[in-house]
Amino acid sequence: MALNLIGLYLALKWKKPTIRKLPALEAVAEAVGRAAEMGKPVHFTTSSGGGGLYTSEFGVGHLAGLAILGRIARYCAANGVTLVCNFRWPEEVPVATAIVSQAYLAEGVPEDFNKDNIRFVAGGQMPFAAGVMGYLERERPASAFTLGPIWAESLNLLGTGQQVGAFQIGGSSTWGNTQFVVATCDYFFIGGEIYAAAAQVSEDPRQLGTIQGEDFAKVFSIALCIVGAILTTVGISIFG
Amino acid sequence: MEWYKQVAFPAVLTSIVIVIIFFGYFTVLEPLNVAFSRVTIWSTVIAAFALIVGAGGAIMLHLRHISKKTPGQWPFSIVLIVCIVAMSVFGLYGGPSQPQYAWMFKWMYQNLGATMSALLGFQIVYVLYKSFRIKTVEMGIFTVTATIILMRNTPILETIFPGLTNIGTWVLMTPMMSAQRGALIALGIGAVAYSVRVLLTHERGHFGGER
Repeated sequence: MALNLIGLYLALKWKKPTIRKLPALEAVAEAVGRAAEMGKPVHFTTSSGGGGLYTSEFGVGHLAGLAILGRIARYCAANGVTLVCNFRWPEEVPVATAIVSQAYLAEGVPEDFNKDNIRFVAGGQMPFAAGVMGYLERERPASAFTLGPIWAESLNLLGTGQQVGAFQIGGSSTWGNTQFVVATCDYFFIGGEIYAAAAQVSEDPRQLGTIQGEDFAKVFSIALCIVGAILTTVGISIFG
Repeated sequence: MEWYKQVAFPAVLTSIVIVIIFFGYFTVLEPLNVAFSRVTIWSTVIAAFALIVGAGGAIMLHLRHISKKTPGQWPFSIVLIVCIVAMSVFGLYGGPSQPQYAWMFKWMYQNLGATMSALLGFQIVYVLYKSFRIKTVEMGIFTVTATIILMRNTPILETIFPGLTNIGTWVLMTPMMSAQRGALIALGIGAVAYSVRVLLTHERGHFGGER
């Protein structure tokens, strides 16, 4: 946390940090453009991980996915593409409704916003997966976004998206199912990129500063690992 | 715009709750501990009301599908509404231990969930068939590693190729474990950085889109 604050301070006092372009974030425009050309909707979900917004471990992943939803909604509103969001956790529905409605308002087309497209599917993991799979099979969206803490239903959702030919962008804030995201998605966020994407969307120097601080923390962790490995190899144990 | 509709209000409210939860959990100050337990109870109440709102919205949506006879959707909407009504009536009448509710939960809901989980096996085969195309070096390494692990988990192949289990175990415990731990550290650091942004009210993407 201290290193994050140092990164934030340096970003405000020194210069705005630049972070590399995230291919998956750059591909959002391509995904929405594909949907506009095909005349089909775009699908978004944060997947079913954890206890929704109320869990400490997975709530941050849901928020990061919802932050990226804002950019997706802006592109959809600008291109006249229908955006359908399916959620497992009901508390995400009003949050997503606010995000998407604001995006349509910002693009000057508030009349195109349909709140029926922001849906609570089911409270259970597999009922949610069944509902979303059914939607994907019936509506066959041109593009599908799965961003959040992805759990075991990942292969159900992503595999079905692949079967219906959707252009998929995925990102998991949990590590356990990342391999399925990599195998089934055209573009994906690996590891902490989903958190960085939420900051890059805003281009706010304060948010980019925390990304810089995140890099400081990673360098510090790597240095600790190297020092620990050397000390352990020579037989020195600090912790007894 | 009214003050409670501006983005700053929920952002500041979020920061206050984060401070209460953070310090209430890690300290032994009585007022903060009381506040921590109260906020935790409030979040449970909010989640319950959110469920009512979400379920109500879903029911209204599917009733519209039924009334409009949306092609390919309305039969499933009828099934959904019937199941919701049945489970709700029996559940509210006698609670989770009510015999009919328990029967439906045990013999319908859980079995259907197990069926969905079983579909994963077929999905894995399909994804493997579609995805394992060795076009780059990275995909080559991915394919070889996945093949070794798959073979390791197949007992009959151990009798044909002795030592396969040892190779697979080494792959799991050495390169894969180190990569997994590195990724978990990065994820944890990323989550902390995101939380710092939310705490300082810099992150507002989840309040109403880009600003």
